[in-house]
Amino acid sequence: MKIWQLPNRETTIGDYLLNICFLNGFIGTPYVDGAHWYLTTLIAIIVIEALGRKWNIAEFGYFYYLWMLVSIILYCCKLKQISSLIGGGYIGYICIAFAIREVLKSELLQIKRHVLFCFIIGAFGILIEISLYAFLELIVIVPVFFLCVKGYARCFSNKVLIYIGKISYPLYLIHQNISFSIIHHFDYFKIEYHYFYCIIAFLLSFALSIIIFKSEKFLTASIKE
Amino acid sequence: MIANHNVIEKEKTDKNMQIEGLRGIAIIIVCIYHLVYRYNQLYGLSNVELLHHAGTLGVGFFILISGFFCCQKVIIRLVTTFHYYISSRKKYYDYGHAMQLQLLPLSFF
Repeated sequence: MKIWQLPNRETTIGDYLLNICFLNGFIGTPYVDGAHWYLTTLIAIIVIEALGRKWNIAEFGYFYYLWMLVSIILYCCKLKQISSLIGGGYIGYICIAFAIREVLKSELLQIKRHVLFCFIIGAFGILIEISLYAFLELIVIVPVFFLCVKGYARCFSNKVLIYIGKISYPLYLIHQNISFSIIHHFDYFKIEYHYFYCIIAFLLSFALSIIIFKSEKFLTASIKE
Repeated sequence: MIANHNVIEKEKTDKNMQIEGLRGIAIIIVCIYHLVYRYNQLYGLSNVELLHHAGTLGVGFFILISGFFCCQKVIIRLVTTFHYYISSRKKYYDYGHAMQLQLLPLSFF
């Protein structure tokens, strides 16, 4: 057994380099890490929304539902790869975010027709491109998010949760491969303590995320100075 | 007046903190999904079927939050920097802005 080798997760140096440049998703190279697809989606969404803002069209509902419709059409034409380049089914969540933003803008929380349409098309996109379960999960996601935005969900003000939330980005990106390596190597010796190793792996990735979070804060403060 | 202003500021902070808390919950759901379900799936071990769709739940929260809040800050920064480079004559002479452009990918996080 080679040290820290993770079966089914091996890659070439070329693919690895493309992965650390976040380019792999855009040119169809496999992801080294199971969480890296999120970066492709997020970069695609941010770039398209930035262009929308540059041309002053991102403030209108039609920008979002046209974006979603293009993605659905591409997906239905079996051009899934191109659809994912513009955000794929996850544009649905962006449409819903826009709808919530618009509802919160009006003082009496009125729901206008274009906002409702944006919400419906977003939910439809999630149903078509992601899964039925993702669509059903909106029943939980949307009300919980709405309550948090309005400041009514006091149970989320817990200090531990807030701290985990602050380090969530590095934790999301690093937890998977690090944890898989640790669990796999412990499992090699004894399988019956599997869930105990899961906890150790999570705590180690948590500690590493704190180091990254603090380093990033230090770096940002140094640049600002 | 000042007291009123403080109350509004406190309310805003509370809301933001609740969103951070929600992100905390979302990342815990995603981690449990990966460590308990995805690992077992990858290496052919017996699995907890209940967790099969937990990943989309966590990611759904993340993208919704990104779409609502985080994107706005990043996009404003992105558009401002882009504008600066298009419109400014001194382009690459200003060390501060050159640094900002190099660190632009960091702003996604």
